[in-house]
Amino acid sequence: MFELNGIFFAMLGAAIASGLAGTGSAKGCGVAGEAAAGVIAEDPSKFGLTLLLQALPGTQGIYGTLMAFLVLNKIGAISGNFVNIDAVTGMLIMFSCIPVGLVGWTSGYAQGKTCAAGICMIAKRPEEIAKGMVYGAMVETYAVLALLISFLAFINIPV
Amino acid sequence: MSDAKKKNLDFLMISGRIKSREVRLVSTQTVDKLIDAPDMSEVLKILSEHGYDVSGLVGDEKNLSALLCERDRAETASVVTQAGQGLFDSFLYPNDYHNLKVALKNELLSDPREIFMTGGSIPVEVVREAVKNREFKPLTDLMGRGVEEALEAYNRTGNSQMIDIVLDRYCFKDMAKVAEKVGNDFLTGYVRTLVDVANVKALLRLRKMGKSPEFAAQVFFEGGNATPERFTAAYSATDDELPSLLGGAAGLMQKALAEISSGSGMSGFELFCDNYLMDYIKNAKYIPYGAEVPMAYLLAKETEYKVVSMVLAGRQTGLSANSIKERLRALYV
Repeated sequence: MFELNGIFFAMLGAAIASGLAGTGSAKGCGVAGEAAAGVIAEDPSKFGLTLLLQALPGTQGIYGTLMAFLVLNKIGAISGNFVNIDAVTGMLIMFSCIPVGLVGWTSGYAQGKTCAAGICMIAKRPEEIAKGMVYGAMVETYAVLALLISFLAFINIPV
Repeated sequence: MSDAKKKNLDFLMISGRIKSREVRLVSTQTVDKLIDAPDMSEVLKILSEHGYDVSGLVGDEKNLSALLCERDRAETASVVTQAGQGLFDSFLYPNDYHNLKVALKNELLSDPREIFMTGGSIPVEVVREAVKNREFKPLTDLMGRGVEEALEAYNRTGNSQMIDIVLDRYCFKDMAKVAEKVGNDFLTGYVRTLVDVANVKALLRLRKMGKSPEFAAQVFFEGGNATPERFTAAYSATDDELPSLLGGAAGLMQKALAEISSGSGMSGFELFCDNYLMDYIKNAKYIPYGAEVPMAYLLAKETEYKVVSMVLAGRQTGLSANSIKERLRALYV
């Protein structure tokens, strides 16, 4: 039972990382995609430019999935040979997943709104696409930092 | 009004669409090109580059500007209403109320001079029939009450001006009611600014015409940044004292008086009032998405129609380029 609790917490961590970050990305991509569809309705030639900005909020979901994959691999969920870990170790793994999950959730949505504004901007000034991407990338910074912290916190947890 | 109280994120698609269309709005430079164009075929070519449907037109039609603007207005309305039916009715109410006035005057006066306008929230024919049959169900509640009160005021005084005064008052009330339902600060602010401009115009015009304070008191409208009572109390004040007596409308009055005293007279003042409203609308230019984007576009288009009509009328009557430019309103872009 003690060992099973460790796995439970680790699995919960993987769910937090991929679930929350993925939700943020889904909402962000949706927000940016709506604005992009409006632009394309009038000017289909801007599809490539709008797609770049719509794709930006998708990265948080990738970070979350990466973290979840590392966790699942470490506890043997992928191979099917679960390792025996205690509850404290499981909780440590779960805590290490929280930064990437939580920051991915909020930053994905915030980045989506920033990118939607950028898409509305390039509807009028397509030559300013780089500036729109820089604004979006500023939000991305914090998702990257959260992934870094999650990774550093997780990588040396002994199992 | 099921679309009321929407959030900015509910307007993402329409905002993207409108931002794309904003690049086709007629700018001051375009107006210069329209004025300087060698012939009407060039004028039509320029307008078609800005989204106007010029098919079947050759340029010498008597009602050219009306045809062009009506086609474009219908297309603009079909795009903007995608954001939500009823959200933008308040911008269309002035045309509805204009049509109510025309319908009433056609019935009551022997020599009515105004003509019906399209571009309202209710088709002209429906407005005409509603007034004719005194059956106000197709109209808003306030429209129906406005017509009844206007009729009563006309029957009591025999003065057709009362029809305008009463229906203008109800128009502002109706606009304010929709603005409140929609719950958008930009729209509420626009209605307030519109009422302020109408009150300042009324005060300065009535003073110039030598009307009594008692008459003026019937004209001032509610719903602005200064109450009608303030305008009534300030009516007999000197020009120097006026702004300080008007509370929230002080800045507008100060600028209006400065415009008149600068030598541009009442025509310059009218121009200033339209430009003052456009300055308010331009605040929406820097909002990336939200209800403000289609709202401002709709208002920008209406100003554009006025300017295009003025240019075409000026060209057709042979006015000089400078005379046309003097009369033009500020544009959104």
